[in-house]
Amino acid sequence: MRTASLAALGRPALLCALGFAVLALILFAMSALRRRVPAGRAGGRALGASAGFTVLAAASLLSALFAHDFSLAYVANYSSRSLAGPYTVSALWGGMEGSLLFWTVLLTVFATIAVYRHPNPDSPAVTWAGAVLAGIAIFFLLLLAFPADPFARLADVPTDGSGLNPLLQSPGMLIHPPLLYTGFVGFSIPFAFAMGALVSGRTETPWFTSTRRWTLFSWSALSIGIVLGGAWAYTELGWGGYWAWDPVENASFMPWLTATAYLHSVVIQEKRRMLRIWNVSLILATYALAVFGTFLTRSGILSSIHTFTEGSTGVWFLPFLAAMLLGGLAIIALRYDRLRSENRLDALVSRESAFLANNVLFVAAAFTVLWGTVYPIVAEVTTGVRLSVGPAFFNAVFVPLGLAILALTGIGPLVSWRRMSKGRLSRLVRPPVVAGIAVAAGLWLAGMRSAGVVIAFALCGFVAVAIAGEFIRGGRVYRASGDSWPAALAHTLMRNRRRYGGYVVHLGIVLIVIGFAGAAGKVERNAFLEPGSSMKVGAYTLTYEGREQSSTPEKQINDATVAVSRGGEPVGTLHPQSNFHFAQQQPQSEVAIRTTPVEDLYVVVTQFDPDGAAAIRAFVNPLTWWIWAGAVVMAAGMSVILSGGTPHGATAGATGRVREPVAAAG
Amino acid sequence: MQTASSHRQSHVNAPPSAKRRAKFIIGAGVVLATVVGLVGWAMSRPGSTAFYVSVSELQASAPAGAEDYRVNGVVMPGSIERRGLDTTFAITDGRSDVTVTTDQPLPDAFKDRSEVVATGNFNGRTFAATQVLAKCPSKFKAKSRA
Repeated sequence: MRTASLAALGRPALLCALGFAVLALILFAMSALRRRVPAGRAGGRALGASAGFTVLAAASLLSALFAHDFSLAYVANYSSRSLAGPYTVSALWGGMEGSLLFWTVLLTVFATIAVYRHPNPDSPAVTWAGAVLAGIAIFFLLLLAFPADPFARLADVPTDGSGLNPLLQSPGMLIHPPLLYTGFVGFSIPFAFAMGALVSGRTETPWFTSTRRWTLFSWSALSIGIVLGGAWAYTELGWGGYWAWDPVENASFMPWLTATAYLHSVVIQEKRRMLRIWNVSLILATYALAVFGTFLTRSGILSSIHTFTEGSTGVWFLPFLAAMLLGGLAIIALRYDRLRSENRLDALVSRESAFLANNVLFVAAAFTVLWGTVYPIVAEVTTGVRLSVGPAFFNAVFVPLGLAILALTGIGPLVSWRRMSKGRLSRLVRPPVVAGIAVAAGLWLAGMRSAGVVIAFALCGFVAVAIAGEFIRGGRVYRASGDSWPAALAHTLMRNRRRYGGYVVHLGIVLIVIGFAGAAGKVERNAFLEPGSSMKVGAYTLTYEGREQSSTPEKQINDATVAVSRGGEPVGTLHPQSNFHFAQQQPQSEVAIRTTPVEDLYVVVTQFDPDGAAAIRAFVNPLTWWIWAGAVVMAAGMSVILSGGTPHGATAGATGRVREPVAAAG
Repeated sequence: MQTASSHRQSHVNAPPSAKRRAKFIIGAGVVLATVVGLVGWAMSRPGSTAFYVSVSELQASAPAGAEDYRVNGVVMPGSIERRGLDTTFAITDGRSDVTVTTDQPLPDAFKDRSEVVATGNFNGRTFAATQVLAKCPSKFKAKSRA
């Protein structure tokens, strides 16, 4: 059979990839230790060959999935004949073995590109980085070759597979896992280059500038991936929310927090040559947390609704993680002297200390999530009592922490580097403060009495006006030379893309916080309705008119007709479904959402009675729309930053000079 | 705009720098203490933590109405009874079982033999659940075929 032969390529390809990764490690190490450039170049080629064979292995698994080659256990477990075409692709990362293979594809390809595209590929720092990357690749290829073999065969070949979880058959699930993995894996590049720079002793080499685009790219992918995960949970899972502080969600959020801290503090290193140890530690923490998250989801050590099997694969991660952490810390300790700052902080009120405060809060946030996530393990080991930590804990901590970070988002850009006069600061701070107070007063007069919500909206107003002020001050320079306002603002944005693109990302965050704050006004109602009867939720009346049934090869569709009215006026009809999937032998509800910027009406059928009565769960979620709008604005800001070149920051990093654009002084 | 030489000056004027250093250390200490306090306060709030137990452990525990429990077990086949929004079912860990009642919507993966985690209170006889989660079966490794 032709299809079977393609699948047969998989395991040999994996073994070749492993062989070449080992070869790459040896060549890179030889080159680095003996200062032999040709060996380093050969190492790069070996890394490339390893990437090629890993891609071949993934292609062969994909072809087996498309060919329904159920002799492979993986194909039989995660796909079926009736699975719709595009979702066959998501089966590639729907199971543990496939997801590790996908991870390794990204790792080897990214590593090859990073080594080849480095401006100075023959330097010892790059050679060491190549060795680190080859080492990481060897670990993952070993996993794939032994405990998590995606090409394991079944003795009895079934006629059909058990199918992909219907929850994963959604467009969001085609994009969300690849983006998260891109983010996680992408951080191995700055991590490896940081370690490479330290081992080679080339600490003056600005490793962070040569990997800046990787860092930004990975951070952007992780950010968008996390938001898409939330959007998927919101539209698919039917519990009316988008974030549940589940250990697996936390696993993606922790590296995001430390990476965000790093993105900010690396600016201080660039402009002032400070915080070197801190930055190296942050990138180590980010990568360690990304690997730790991968371990959590694959070890079954924590109870989560979306962990993979409780198999033995997770155990392999512990020595890897330990080696990485201990190795990283040892290298930092050895190079401690070279990493010392050249400068000190000058004043409490300065851009540096605003960045520092931001960092302290982000790292505190990351450790809080880590604490809440691993506390059950710690408690069980120390006291023998098994506890679980719920969303109530995380929400209680994150509201104040998040609001403090939001406030800094507004203050940071207003204070200048090194020190600034009180007069100038108060002049710049006045409009945003006035805006914040106006928002708070307006909400209070409108009857809003929840302090947290009032503060959140007031800070949103404060930050939005502070960002607008930055753009206006930047735009004035171009306005003076005759540009129209729109052209002047566009010029401002495009001239210093990192800075103003960053402000656009901040604006996106403000919109997202508006959406989070709206959740305080959430309303939930459950009702068991006979056809023709009604329920109320918020200002809406929902009338369940009846159920229509139809069938496809995959599922039996049960479609409810729910008429929606508000204040006696009909506003539309919603069609939530509860469909029975034959392959999984279980129902799957499809949420119906009527979304507006003001509020979402969110309706789920949780259960149909055989006689046609329906259990209906309905939510009114105020302002949720702003979360997705904010994510789009964030993505736009990230594109602006990523579209810019590196030279501007690179020169500043190399010379240690502070090069603020003239516009900042205006 | 400043030059590299002006950076060095910050090292020279030691006394004010030491004072600033102290300020920063105190500032960082205050922030850290606040965060630790925040975490401690949040952990001690009711509902933040729950005892995570198996069915046997739940049955062996003294009935304590005020405590939150999360109990993990497998839905016993044929035990699910629905009346309107109210559902009653039994879960087991293979050694003992407990009856669970809830008026909350149940997840799609909830059915006979599915593994669930119920959060709620135990009065010594029945477990009143405020939330029932089911583990996603197919994200688990599929069961070995017979």
